[in-house]
Amino acid sequence: MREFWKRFAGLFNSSRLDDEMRGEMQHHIELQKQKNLDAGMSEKEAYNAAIRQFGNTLIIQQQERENRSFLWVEQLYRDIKRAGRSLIGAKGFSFVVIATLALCIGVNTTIFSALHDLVLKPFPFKDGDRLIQVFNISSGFKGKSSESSIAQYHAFRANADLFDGFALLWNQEKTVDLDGYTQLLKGKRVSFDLFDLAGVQPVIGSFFGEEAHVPGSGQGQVVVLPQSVWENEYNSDPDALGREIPFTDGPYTIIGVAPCSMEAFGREIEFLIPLRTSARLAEVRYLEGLPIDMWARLRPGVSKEAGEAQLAALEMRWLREESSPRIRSYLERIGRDVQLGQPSQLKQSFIMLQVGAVFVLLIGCVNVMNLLLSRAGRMQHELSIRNALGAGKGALSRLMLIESSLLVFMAVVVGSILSLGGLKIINHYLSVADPSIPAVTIDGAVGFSILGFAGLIALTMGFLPLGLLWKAGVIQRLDSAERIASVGGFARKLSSSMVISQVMIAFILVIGAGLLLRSFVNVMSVDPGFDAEDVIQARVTVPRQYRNTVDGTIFRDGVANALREVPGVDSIAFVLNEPVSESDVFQKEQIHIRRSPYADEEPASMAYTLIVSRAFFDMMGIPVLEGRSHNESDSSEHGFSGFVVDRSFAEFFFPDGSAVGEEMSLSQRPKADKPWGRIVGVVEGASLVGLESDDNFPVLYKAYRGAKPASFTLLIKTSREENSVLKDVRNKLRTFDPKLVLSHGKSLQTVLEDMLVNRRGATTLIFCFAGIALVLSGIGLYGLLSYDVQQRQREIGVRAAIGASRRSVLKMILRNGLSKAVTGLVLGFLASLYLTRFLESQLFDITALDAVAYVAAIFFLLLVAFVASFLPARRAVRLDPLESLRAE
Amino acid sequence: MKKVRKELLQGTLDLLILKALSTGQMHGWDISKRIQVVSKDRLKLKQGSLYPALHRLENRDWIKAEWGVSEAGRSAKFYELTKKGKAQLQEEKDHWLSFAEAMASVLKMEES
Repeated sequence: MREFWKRFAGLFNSSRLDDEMRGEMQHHIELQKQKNLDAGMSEKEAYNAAIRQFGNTLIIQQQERENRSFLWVEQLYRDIKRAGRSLIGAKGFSFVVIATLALCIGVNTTIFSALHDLVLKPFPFKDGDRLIQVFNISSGFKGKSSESSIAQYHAFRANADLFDGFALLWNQEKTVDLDGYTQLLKGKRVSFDLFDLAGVQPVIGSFFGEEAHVPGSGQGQVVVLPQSVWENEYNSDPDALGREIPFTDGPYTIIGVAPCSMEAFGREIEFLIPLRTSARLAEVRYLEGLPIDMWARLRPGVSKEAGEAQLAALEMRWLREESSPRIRSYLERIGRDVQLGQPSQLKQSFIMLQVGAVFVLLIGCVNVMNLLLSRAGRMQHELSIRNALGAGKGALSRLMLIESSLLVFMAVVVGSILSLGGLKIINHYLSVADPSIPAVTIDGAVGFSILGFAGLIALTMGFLPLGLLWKAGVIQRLDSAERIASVGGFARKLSSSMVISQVMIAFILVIGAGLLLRSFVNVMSVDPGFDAEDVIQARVTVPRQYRNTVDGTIFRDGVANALREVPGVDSIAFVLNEPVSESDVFQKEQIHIRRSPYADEEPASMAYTLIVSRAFFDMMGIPVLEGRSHNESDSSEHGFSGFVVDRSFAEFFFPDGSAVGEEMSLSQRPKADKPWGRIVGVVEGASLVGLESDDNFPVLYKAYRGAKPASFTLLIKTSREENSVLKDVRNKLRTFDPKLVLSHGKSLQTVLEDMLVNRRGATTLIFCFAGIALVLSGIGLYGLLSYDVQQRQREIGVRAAIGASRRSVLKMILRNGLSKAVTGLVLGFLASLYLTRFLESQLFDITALDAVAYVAAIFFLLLVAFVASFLPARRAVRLDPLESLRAE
Repeated sequence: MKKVRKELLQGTLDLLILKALSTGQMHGWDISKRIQVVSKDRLKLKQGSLYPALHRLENRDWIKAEWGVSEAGRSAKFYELTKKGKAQLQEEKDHWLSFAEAMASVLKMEES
């Protein structure tokens, strides 16, 4: 330890120590000289002999310095300076290497961060890896997850003994009346056991218990704030406890603050309130249709598969015991299944993107490696001289290693900056795709693995070229004749097989990108079945005083009349929920059909339901195929009596005849003496659950009536520009009632496109990757051939001198390049035949072996290969045979 | 030409210095003289290599140095053994002797 500190100190006072030492040695030499003088030598002889006997003081002092301090630190500093100079000397080389690696590192860091955050990372809670989401997969809906239900939660909670517990979260928006204007807050209604499940403690105050779920239990409404809100809005004031938040539906008392980690359940949580369940919502028939997420904690040591199996068995059992045959037949039809983990949509995209990113990285590394090999060839002379001057294999390795480390370091710096930008883009996409996903960041684990990986690249880059040169024995010999043999056959074979694999990987990526692009174009060209361009939707929050039947109607008529005065507004319609939304949040209800001969045996089914005002079909441009659209008699405060259904509903339930006039009811079968509803019309199908959905799930439209909703969606048909219309509409509504809130205004076209954001994002990224891969492998091929031409200058010169035509030289180089490209292409083609099947779930309306994509990919790859081979070939042709011979 | 091997075996210089210093305080030149005299010129010491070795031993706290005035009237660095150095000398001496004895017995056996 002492020695360490002395050495460490030696780093800083080396000049003083040098002086001392010089004095000491001088003294020694003088004494020796004196002795020599005494022995009878002349003055000059005595001095020279003394010096000779002593040895070279400079070398000794150097030896001493090695002793004294961490020489390697000083040496490292010198080496880094030297390597820096040498890299600055080779500007083009350094730039290309750093740019290539930075691009690859940036891309991979970005994608891996996202993959890690969204898919791989356990939750930031104690034993977070045991915390897992429970969701229902419906194979009938192309594997989309659907919401959980309260009934399912109770069934699992009572019986699943492989789990520590279950908890429910229900997205909730609430308005707050603040100083005369209304603000919209996003939060969650959660079951009390969520906090236990997450294993979190309140920052201050307490969480609510089970009793808070029972309405009218004497306890007032309570709210738990997330830490960020407490810090920002309440300045971390402990007195915030006990204060009330004036939500529009009544005051909520703040009882506690939840730690930041709760944001893992969604980044836009501004409040957490108890999930109060009425007995009705806990019935089995509300198996679907409520926006509920369920989370569970596995017992220690229980695998995900075991948990999944138990839940699946439980689900079968309780459904058999408690649900009707109708519900079971419906569930069978949609192929419902319980799974643990995360909904697979994003996961699949990100795994695909990660594979793409790794491919890009491989290609990039191959390029860098080839560059290094050819640079090592060029540096061979320098290395040989250094070797001759006494630098052994170790010293040369250090030299190369420091150079490559420097390059990789720069690449990591630039790559990190790139990936920060990349994450911004990804986060933007994610916030559109699913606002509940927390923002992706680069965390320690990812950073660490990237650094480790970069270190590995640096090592390979440092050692491989040198190793090859050393092995070929070219460094040890100085004579220039050897240079023609160059880096050696092995290295050249390595280079060309690397280029072949590059082309292969690039081809796979291009195929993937082609397939995804074709799918995207196919999705975009789907006719939604309604006029999405000119219809703008906006959410209206109804002020409290209008939430009764009479005033609700007055309010709506008032809004409609006011808006008709806005210039450019052609028509107005109301929809209770969102007219277009993902299939997993679209309202579904049970359908009961009454047929005369077997009225009671008919099982219930499910259909999407949407409550629309009368103007809806007209303004959306959805044609009525049969019967009529809604009129005033179709709904009243007693219920719905006339339904409009879409084409797939009619074809599904009444394949043999007309649906119009048939009797049916929703949710519950009417009691014996009560009337059934009637289907009054059939309309054309429309893509209300997005362009990608081709499940043809039946849709039923109910007539908007004098209901008392807290909010509804306003549809405005206009030919004017979206934002300016919305501004006018907002102003107009404010004159009608200043407390009215209009939010989420956008055109239906935007809504449809936002639903594709996942596909659009993944397609764009893979397309970028394929582009990068194509360019990089083009550069790789070009680099290899250029180097080849340069090395074979003499041979080409000889050929030309003995009469080879320019054409034949051109052909020779082209053939060389294209044969490599074609080999890679064939390998890539074979690999694609196998690999593209993993893309199948992402494709739309094409097969994984789509001929157009394949032909296009082959064409692009050959084009790039041709350009990459032609440029060096042209250079070879332009060589003057005499010049190139003389160059030797 | 056959080289007469006179250079020191690696690692023996430290021991020689410690031994030389066991007789008392002395400066660098004295140490080199003393080694040559005692070994009857059989051990050829590169004089220059003495100093790095001295400083190495100093760093290990086996010897300590102080500036003084030499017999020639110049300021010089005088070295002497520390307590740790004495212990080290004893240890290395024992080790070296037993090693040399072992080597010798092996080599002689081979000859016979």
